[in-house]
Amino acid sequence: MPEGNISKTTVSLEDRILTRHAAFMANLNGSQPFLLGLRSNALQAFQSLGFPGRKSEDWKYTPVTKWLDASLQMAESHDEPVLAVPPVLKQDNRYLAVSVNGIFRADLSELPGAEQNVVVCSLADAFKDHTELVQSHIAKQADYTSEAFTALNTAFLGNGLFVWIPDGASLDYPLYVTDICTDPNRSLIQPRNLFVVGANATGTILEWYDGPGHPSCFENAVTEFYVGPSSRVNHIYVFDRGESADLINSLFVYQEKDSYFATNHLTLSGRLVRYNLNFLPDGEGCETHLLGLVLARNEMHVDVHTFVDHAKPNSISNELYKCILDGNSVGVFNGKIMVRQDAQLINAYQSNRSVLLSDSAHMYSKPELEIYADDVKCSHGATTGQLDEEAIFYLQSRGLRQEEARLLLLESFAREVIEQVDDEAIRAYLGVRLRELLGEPAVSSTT
Amino acid sequence: MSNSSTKYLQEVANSEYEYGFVSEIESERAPAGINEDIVRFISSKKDEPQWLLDWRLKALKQWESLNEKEAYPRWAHLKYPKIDYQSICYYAAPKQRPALNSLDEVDPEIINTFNRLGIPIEEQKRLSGIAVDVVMDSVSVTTTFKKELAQHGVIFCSFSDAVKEHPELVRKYLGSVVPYTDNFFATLNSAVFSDGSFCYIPPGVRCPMELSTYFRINEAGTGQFERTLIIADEGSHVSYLEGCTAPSRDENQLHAAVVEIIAHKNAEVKYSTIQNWYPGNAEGVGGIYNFVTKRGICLEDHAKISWTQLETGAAITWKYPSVILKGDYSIGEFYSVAFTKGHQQADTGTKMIHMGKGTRSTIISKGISGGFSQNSYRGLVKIQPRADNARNFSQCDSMLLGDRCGAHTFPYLEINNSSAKVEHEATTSKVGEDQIFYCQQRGLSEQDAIKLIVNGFCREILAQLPMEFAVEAQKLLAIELESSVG
Repeated sequence: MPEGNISKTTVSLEDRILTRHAAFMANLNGSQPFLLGLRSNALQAFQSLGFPGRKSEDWKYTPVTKWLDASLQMAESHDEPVLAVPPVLKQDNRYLAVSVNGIFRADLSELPGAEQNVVVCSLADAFKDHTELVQSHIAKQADYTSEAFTALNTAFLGNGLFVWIPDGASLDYPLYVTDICTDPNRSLIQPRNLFVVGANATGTILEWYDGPGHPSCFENAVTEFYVGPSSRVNHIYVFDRGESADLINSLFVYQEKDSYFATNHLTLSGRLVRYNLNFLPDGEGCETHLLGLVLARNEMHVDVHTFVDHAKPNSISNELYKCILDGNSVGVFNGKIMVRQDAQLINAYQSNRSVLLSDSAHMYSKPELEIYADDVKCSHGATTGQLDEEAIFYLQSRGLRQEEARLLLLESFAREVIEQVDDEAIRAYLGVRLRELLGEPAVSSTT
Repeated sequence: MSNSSTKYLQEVANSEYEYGFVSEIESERAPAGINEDIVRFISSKKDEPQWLLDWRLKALKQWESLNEKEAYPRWAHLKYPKIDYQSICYYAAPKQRPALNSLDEVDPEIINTFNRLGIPIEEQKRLSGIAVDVVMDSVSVTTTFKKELAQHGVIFCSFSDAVKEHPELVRKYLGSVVPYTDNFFATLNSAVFSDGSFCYIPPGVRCPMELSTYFRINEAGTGQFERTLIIADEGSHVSYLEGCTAPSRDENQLHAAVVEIIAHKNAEVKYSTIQNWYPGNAEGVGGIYNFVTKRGICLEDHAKISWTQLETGAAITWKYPSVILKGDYSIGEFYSVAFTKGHQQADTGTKMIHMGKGTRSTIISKGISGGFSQNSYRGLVKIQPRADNARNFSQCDSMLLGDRCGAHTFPYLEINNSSAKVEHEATTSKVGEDQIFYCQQRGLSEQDAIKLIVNGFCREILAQLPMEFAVEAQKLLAIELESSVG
């Protein structure tokens, strides 16, 4: 009997997904053929790919099925969420786009006025009102044929968030994007975001996922950015959903010529956190900045995969990813820079720095370069170490307690990333939050 | 970059292979194909004891099951057609091999071959002070300076002689670093290896001269599968050099060697390679497939193993000389220059496995690619949980000499101990226009400037080679660069 149970439950997540998909498709009478086709293609892709196993090079250090436990349900509940916006975001000069269980809710959001000429709506509405635009961008960068989680997300694509900043427009205040999970069970939620930024447009997007709602969800998010010629986008991403939340986040950024895209990725808590961050500067004169900070404690497992694909000449990319690992946490960094043939005059820089605070923490780092053009300057660096004993001693000799000295050094290590966050209030909040987290003793560091 | 230097670099990329002649030496070869009979044939040819035959047969069985599953490594950044292992001849030996006492008895054609290669096997080259073991088509032809080495207690002989004369040593260490199950090519080698070099340095002895093995593939349609075993006992020291060439042929020949190094307490082994197998012609036809497993183990405290390699040949290079740092405070080093041109492909690097406390490793790798070649560095630095205060420094620099080649870096860093300090740096660039301009301003021609810059780029590595070979290596690199430029 027990064996039967086990095999039933292990198979059933994929089965439940398929059953759920059939019901999902059946309820979509009147949907456009484009969308129906996309969904069923993606489902087929997911079925043939399956969840990645250990043999997959991309998941070498992250046996993801470990977190896809049998209790995981497709999100069902539509309880009204408790909207607890952190005080730092409660300011007049922000817009707010709220989703619940991956479904965009205009009624809970505070959107830019019509005079702003910026569209923020659900993907479902966007398919109706901006059909051509959405069809030409959705699932274009997020390739669902080779990555199971992107395929799974695309198979259920429908009610995500759509943001359009048309040519020449600019968002005067940052747009704060969040998602609240209300299902009391351990549920799978799949947010989907599409940002289309036209030519000569600007905007700041602030994705913020923290504790409110039910924290034990498994989130499989896909976000696509189209950045038009000569546009500027600032992107800030904060994940702090607590120690029982799992996340797989795939970001796809497509840049036209002379565009600028900068992202700050801050991961402060979670259980399994996996990022697939993909950048395709596909025009001359592009500038791409990617900064990240991971703070992993206790049993947390963070896996960061980044891919910068320089397809056209004359561009710059700069990547800095820092990890602080404590307790039994595991950190994985796999950063790849590719320079395609004839993409000359590329300046690409990548750096991964990690600090291990405990003997049972692990770090796996794999910075890669794949270069097919000769007139380029590319470099990567990776370091892993611990806090400098001499620096701690120096601070102690100046009258700081050992704990304070340690905290000070870690803060300064993290500051290099936090400092670059282009929003003063957020920066200040992150500084405080970081101190709070670093000051807490890690639960299992004694083992 | 200006047109003339681009042209120069293109010519470099198309330069020809100097060692492409064939020596007319009668040889004896086994029929093509691999099966139990061939393995038994090789073993009986060498009068091997039963245990070694058994070991070979176990390896053969393992390999056959791997081959059936097509479980050859595919992860490398290499493209090549499937190898037909049944069309290769696994044993070819120069004929007439009575017991030789001096070089006078060696076939003059063989001596002639090595003279053309500039290999100092003749007694008159005594001054260079290098003992050479010469392996042609898988069989050791001659070993020089045997007597003098014997006075110091150093054993340096062909692998088959070692099996006969020192079976206890061979049996104890064979497969202890690279087991026959290690990987597809090492397993193949374990089944069919024909000869190689064996070296044992007794405790406290500093080997009085450089030891060297020269490998030459001469026969068509053969593969070369040699095996080298080096044991440095407590407190000993040895420097070892290996060189390789092959005739130009329009077929691909397989070279799958295994090198095992064991360093005991306080022992030091320095292993240098100048690999110059035939790389194929300008269209990428022919050339050697070089699939080599090289690994050393610092078995006890304070041991040191250092790999230095200059890789300029072979159509495909698949090679990761590694060090297992088992003893506390042991040291591993890897210095490499890989130069690819034409349609060559190289996927090379190292593995440093830190197990002991206070272990240190240094990796410096320089890749230069030109023409249509692909040059990858692939390396692993692994710090085991017990390796307190382990230290690693890696630097991988690549230089591109054209816009149709590729330079890639795939480092893996796995850190399981918080006291470890691991650093990795990599850069990719081309020969700087400003550097060329500066040199020209100082009166150097554009070509000399490029040579100077490339040489400077590799200097750190070349300085690690034993002196005589450093000179040879520099010349080799210059020839590789110079090619057909008048």
